[in-house]
Amino acid sequence: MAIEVSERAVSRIKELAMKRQTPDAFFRIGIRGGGCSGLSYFVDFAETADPKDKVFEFGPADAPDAKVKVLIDRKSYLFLNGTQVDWKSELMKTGFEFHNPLAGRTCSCGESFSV
Amino acid sequence: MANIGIDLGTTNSLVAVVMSGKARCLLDETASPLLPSAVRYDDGSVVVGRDARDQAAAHPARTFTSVKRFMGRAPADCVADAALFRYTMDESEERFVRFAVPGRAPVTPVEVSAEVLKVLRARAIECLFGEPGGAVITVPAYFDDAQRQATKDAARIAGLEVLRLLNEPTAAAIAYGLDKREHGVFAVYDLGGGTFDVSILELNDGIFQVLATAGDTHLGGDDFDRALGEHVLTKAGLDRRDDADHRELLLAVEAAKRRLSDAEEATVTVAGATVTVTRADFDALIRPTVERTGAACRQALSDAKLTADKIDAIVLVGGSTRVPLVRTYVGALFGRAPYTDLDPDQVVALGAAMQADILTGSSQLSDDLLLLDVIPLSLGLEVMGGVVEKFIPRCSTIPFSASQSFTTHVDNQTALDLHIVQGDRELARDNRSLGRFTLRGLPLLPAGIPRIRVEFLVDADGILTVSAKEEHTGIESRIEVKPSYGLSDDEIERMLEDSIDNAETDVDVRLLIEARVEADGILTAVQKALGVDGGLLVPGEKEVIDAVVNALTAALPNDDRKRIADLAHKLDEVTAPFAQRRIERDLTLALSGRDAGEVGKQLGLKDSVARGTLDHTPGGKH
Amino acid sequence: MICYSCNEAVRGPVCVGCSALQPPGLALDPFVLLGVPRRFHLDGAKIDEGYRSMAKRVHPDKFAARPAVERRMSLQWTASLNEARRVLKDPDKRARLLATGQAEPREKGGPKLDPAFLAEIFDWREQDEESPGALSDLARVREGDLRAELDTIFTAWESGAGDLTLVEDRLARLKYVTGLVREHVS
Repeated sequence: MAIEVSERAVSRIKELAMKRQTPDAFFRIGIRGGGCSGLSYFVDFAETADPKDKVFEFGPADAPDAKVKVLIDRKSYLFLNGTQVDWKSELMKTGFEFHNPLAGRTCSCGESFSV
Repeated sequence: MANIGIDLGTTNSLVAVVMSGKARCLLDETASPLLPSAVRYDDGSVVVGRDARDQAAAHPARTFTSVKRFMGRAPADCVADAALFRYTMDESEERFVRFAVPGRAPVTPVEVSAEVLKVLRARAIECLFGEPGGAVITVPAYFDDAQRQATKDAARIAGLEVLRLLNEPTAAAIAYGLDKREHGVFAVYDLGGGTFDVSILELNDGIFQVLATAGDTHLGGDDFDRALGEHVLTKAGLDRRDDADHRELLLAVEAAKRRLSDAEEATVTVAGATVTVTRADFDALIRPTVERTGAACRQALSDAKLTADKIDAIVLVGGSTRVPLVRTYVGALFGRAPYTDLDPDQVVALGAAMQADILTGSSQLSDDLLLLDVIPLSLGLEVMGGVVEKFIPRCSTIPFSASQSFTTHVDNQTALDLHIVQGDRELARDNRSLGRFTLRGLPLLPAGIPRIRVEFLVDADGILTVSAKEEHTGIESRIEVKPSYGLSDDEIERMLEDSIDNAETDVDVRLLIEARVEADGILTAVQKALGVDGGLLVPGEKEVIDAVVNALTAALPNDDRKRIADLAHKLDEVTAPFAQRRIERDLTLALSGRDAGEVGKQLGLKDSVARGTLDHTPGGKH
Repeated sequence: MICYSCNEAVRGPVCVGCSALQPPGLALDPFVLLGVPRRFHLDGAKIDEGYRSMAKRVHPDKFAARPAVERRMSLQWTASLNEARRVLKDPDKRARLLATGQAEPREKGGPKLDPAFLAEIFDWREQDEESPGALSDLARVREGDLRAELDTIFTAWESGAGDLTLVEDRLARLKYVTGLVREHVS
């Protein structure tokens, strides 16, 4: 099943890549943390992929140039499997939103959740 | 946290960052790197950028452009400029310029510039997914102490930490990748909207050394616009217009100027009249302004002790260098065609981003590049007779320190006054007064006995600080600085608070709310965990955790976002060993033969996933 | 010297153990700072090289991400370094530094000039009244002679012979005479 990235999120990622003038950068999503607060999601652009990363492509099927390449490191992927990534403009921090069946609720970047 | 570079320009401002090994300007939604340095104060909100600029004619009294021309300057010196832009200055304030705004408190150029910087900062936060570490902000090389301080003040109000003020020509030199060469002497000719700088730099063994700099902080593309505007008015037989038409005229004239860079003629329509301007007309109108730049170029060469033929390359910076007459003039002046490869609008911001990256201490751009800049104007003291005695000559490499000894003139004199000026004229009154420094707390001694050693230190930003010590007693005199121009620390604090109060959609308020929500979440999770598994704590741990919990709880209602974030992070850290023990305990239970599904339920996981995570190493940190 | 940060022994501006910048210390001798021999006759290129290599080690830009105390010290180091270069690149200041230990004259206006020398100048002024331009010509010639004399003194000193007792006085004369040349030009 892997992960899903909504059209809105893909659009936003492409817009940010345009603003940064880094059209070929990867978009990395992942989990960090592990203290009492639990875990939280993060997003960032990355120049290169680690060989152990999982790579997913999203974007319109009819426009191969408009694809966005998403990276997830191995450990994060264990928690992210099955997650849907969306984007809403007025949300916390980056606006990216994670619907993860594991966490039982929807969280934004930086918001802690526990499993 | 990445560092950013900012070009705070007279006409346009930009922000750039080094990403993926290259400096790049951050674009707005329309894919433009430029943010017009225009600010309009509406009722209860502030509009910054293209909107403000394009609607300037409709709102002349509320819209401010080219405020860089007023930064750090004495109101008395700005009367002509204020008239040109039809700004109403508050005449009661001597120390700094203040513009009246209908229906609002007056604003200073520093506050207007801060609004522009805030937008750039927000753009950086959006693209970097977080706050920048610090910023390198460029200033004209010829900016004096007060103008530099004003720039730092604006950054502070905008919530930026200034790592370095970088001279614009030096920034351009870096951006041109001149560091790729081993050795050479370069001239940077920087003609912006309101300021002109020329710098001569030598590159040798990875060190960029400024040899000389000269310029005019009051000369630029705006002068081209003015000359063209007056010509149009005359040819159209029109009189001085009211404020609204004046702005409209300036906008139309600016557009015509740009067209004339490519076309042989352009038309300007104002108040129904249409005037045609040819390239030849335009050249004749702007020639006097362009020739004024020649004097500064010759002075820079002289200060650098070089002749034009010793210059290996000329670099053009600033939108106004797109004007064909400027290019031919510069080519003739230096005897060689100038470089025009990089976008003259972006080159300064890109250079600032590169320097910002180098200042992180871990740059991939260059191991060894070092910039050695100079102070543009001499610093001196006013002595008997109103004459200036220079203690730091212009074009001295900075940081620079000079010291002088003073003594008292009457018995038991406890204070000493120094009047410091900046500039190269003979008389103090013809130079820029930086301020009066009063040394207090001198020991009670007969006249002529104390030996007060005063040290003047100009830092890497080109800003002066003064310290003093009486050598016999070793007493460090307290220095009271009364700067002649500029805002006091209190005034800036007040502006900073105002800026936070007024920000409804401001990114800072959002960041604060988010920090509070996160902190709240962590506090709740910790309390829950302690309630369930308090038994897993080791001696002494609870006290440490409680201390941070209390500090964080106390910090939440305050507005210090950094403190809240730092404490939340700290709480995460101090509870990490405790959290680790919990996870290990749960996994041990699972491995001891209990059903994985049961463990999963306990951990709140779905069955299938629970089985998966048992292979995952505990901790979760990467 | 011991590093204040990690207690390792230290030789040079930056601690090898923990990279902390050390305080400049009391004696920042320009020759030592720029790594050139303690002589009057110096290679300008070597001064520049010494300057560049030291600047790369102590300049504030290298310490922008380091603690505040190191940033302050790097300011002092670099200000001293810039001053050292300014002094060593100027032959007169360099000469005075070697002879008196300071780059600038001890008293404002310099030491008192020999009456015989002053009498000569008075003579020149009289000559100038008769044939205008004589003053600056004579001054220019004397300028050349004084520089040659200084050169000789230092050459001898550098090979172990002679001392520098006359230098301060000759520099004062040189300053006076150069002023005469300039006075006439303007």
